[in-house]
Amino acid sequence: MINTLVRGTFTAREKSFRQVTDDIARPTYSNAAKWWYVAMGIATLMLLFGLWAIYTSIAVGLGTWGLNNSVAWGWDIINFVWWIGIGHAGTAFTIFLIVFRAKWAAIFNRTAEAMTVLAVACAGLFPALHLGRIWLIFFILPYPNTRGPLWVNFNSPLFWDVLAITTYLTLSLTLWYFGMLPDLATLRDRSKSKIAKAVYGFFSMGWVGSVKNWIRYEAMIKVLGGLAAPLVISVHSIVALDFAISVIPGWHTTILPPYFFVGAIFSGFAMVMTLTIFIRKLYNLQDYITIPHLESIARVLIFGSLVIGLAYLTEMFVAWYSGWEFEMFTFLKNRATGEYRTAFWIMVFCNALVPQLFWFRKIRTSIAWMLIISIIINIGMWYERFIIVVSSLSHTFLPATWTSYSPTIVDIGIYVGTFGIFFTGILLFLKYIPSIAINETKAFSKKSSH
Amino acid sequence: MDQKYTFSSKVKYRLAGLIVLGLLATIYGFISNPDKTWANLLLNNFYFLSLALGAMFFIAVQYVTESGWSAMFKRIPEAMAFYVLVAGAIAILLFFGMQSLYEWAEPGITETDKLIAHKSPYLNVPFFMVRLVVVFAVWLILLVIMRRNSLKEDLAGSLALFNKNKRLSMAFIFLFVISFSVATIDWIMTIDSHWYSTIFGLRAIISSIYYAVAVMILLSFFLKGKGLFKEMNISHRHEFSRYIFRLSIVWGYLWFVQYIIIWYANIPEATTYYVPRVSEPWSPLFYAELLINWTIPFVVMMSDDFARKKIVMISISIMLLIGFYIMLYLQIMPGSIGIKSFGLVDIGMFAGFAGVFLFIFFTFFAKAPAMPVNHPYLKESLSREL
Amino acid sequence: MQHIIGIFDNDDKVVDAIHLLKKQNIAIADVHAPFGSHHILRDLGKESRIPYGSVLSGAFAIIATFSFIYWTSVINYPLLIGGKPTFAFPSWVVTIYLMTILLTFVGTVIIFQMRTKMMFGNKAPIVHDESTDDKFIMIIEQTKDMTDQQVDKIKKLLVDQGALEVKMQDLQIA
Repeated sequence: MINTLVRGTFTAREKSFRQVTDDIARPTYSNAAKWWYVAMGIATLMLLFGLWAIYTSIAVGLGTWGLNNSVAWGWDIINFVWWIGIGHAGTAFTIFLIVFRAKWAAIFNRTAEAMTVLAVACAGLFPALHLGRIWLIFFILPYPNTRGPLWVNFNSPLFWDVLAITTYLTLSLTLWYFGMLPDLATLRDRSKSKIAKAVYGFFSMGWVGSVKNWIRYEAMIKVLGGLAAPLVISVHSIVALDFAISVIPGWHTTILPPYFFVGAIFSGFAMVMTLTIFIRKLYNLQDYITIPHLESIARVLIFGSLVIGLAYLTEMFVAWYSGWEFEMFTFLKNRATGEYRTAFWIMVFCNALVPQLFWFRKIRTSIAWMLIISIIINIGMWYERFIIVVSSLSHTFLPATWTSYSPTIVDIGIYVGTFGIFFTGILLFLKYIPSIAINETKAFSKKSSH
Repeated sequence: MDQKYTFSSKVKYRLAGLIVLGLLATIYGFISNPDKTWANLLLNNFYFLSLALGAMFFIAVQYVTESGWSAMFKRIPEAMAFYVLVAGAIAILLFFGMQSLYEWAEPGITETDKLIAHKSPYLNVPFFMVRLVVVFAVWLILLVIMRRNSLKEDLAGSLALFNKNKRLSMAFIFLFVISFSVATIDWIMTIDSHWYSTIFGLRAIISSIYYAVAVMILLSFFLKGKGLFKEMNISHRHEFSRYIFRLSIVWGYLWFVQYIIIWYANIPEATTYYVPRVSEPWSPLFYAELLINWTIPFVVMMSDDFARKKIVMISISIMLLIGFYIMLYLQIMPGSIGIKSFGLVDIGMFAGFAGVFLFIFFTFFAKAPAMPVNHPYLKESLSREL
Repeated sequence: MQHIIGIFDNDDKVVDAIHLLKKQNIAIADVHAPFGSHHILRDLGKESRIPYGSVLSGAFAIIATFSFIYWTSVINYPLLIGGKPTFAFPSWVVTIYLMTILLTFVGTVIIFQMRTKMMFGNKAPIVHDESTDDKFIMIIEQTKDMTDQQVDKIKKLLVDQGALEVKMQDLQIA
């Protein structure tokens, strides 16, 4: 196949297969660096803070949260949506790789999928805790019971949510695991220590890379990738349906599902950018995760930013166009000029305006700028969820119920705690699993005459 | 490689015959039922305008995503896009039919209808025409520049022109998404002047590229039969069929999202749109729309091997073109004339528009080499294997 | 069973060797490769039938989920919720859709596990421990009617094609 050079090259210099294995797998068989222990310590502290907050929410009750009668969904749902959004990146990269065969996505795939698994797990924690009585969570399963038998409400978006998250977690975990099967076999054959050999051997399922191995494996991965593509669109759309099918002004709008989906890809890619910038530096992977790779993410971010900006505009315009006074109040008064104007304009600034800087090549290729902008995007996306959830709930149809909302230390604690889960997970992943798919890097980096 | 298509006089006469047929049908229509004919003009014009813009959108997407496979077919969407010229003229002509199409354009309606009075800063005839002229100007300017660069590239073959077009493609996608949203909201959504849906523009954007790809498939097979595009092989068929498959999923998704949000929330302001459409006499069309545009392409194209058979691709593409007509018919007719009728006049007018579209296509296609000879991706596209 | 093992460090050479061996009607038992090289796979393998299994699981999922929701919400305990009809198909679509993806997914993985007989803790039939790193291992079975001259010819062919090492090994592989 001819590769046109106009696209720019993605590998800095040619590597032998042996070098590829060595460079990528090195962290798994050398001792962890000092920074790793420091980072792990901080992450553990965050995790402990989170555990305390979770303990308080269960032992004392949800009264410790900042929720009130009007704003019955607060930080929990904001953070839930935010984490789910971040979780979309991994599967999105898989789609780019398997469905669109975009080679640049291969390099990010593994890390992004690890992120997905962790982020979705973090997200799932919030609605579970929001139940209050978390030990009754099995009520959501449709099983023959003594309450009627009263089946679950299949028409409820909250049920869809549970199903969507479970499916998504199962799928992303399995896809991630099978994606690294060949690499686990590589580690099994490469590692010197007996324990490592046994553990990697256990998980590599007897992989040797025979023809049958590869053919069936690739057929399966293709099917799984094909399934992941519609799923990833639907998961965040279903989260959006939680809002959109209600009659609350600011929520009931038909563009919400696609707009949520693009927002999810947007925040997820930004998070991948932030993480890989650190990973490439800390593990000396600059030859693999190159500037052109990061540039490709930056391009996707521009696109996402444009779509999101367009969605903001459309929503504002249609709010006025609808002529419905509640809708007009929510968008034009409450959000843009009212109590939530600061958060609203932060959101617009971070999501719709700042990423436009990526149009400039200089900024698109500068690591510092990319790091700053990707963090700004994630802050902006958090504010977007804040605006959607809180501004609509706190000022609904009945002015007598209007309230303000502010989080408590327990709310903050759970959020910080999810960061703890996320970062400990990522650090463990970086220590024990190659952060780039070794076999795919070999397949793509090779300059073949065929 | 730099073969040109010759637009033979035989084909010209046939297409001219179609156009004359269309003209006769239009004239007869204006005599017998002017309201219906205005609606038909809007429908057919929008139908082919969507195909033209969808084709342009396709080119822009290829540039932006750096896709190499489609380079050899680039001249097909390029020539399709020139229908914008005619569409602009007919759209301006619609000015005379506005009162029979749009409730809000009737004089004095703002005094009796409070909601339309609220919307009147946006929904008024002068502003409507200004927007119409602006969006067409944007499309035409970008089309002409991009085409000129593309033709220049044939002679010079410099990477500078390619990069220029790439940047223009980004600009086009940006402007197209806004302008086409505005255009569909203006021309189609305001027919039901009380109703609104934020996803409406997005659906039209996705539809435009969806059906444009279907037309591209038909045209490329036709031209292959004429001895061009000899290099077209299974890998190109594969990519084309994947486009249809993926876009069918997106189409179905957007259809469902709009429907379920309105169905579930059950707010009278929103459901007024769907109530007539799911009841007699429109309901068969309502289900047919979903079946033809989503279910059948999705199920049939699921298997890679089956989807890239020539006969499958051609029949699905033809079916989709019918599906697109049904989609627009359902969007326009219930609101504007409220009576379900379909007869020889409608077929005649559609044939006439199709004649114009194809005439323009072949004229512009014959003007340039059938393949962009100096396109940097052309080699990759020609020697592509599965 | 005795096998001829050829060790290569470049998949292009492997592909060329496969073509030559095929021309001489010599069956190749297997190739172990560190990554899925499409040229090797195309020359040696049959297409996998796993996707057919996926389609079947998908069809099963659609029917099963629909029947279950229909039975619970319409027949077993028809409960009016939010003024919607008990047969509220549009909102079932989401559940059916998700269950289809979930069950197709699970089905595909199970079929894969059954076909490949891969399970946690399986012992890998390693022929050469660098086949997951940077070596391509070609395995040719020495059939009973193969004379020593033929074996030598194959060995020579492999060496000519750039094999780093050619050896005989006793392997128990299916």
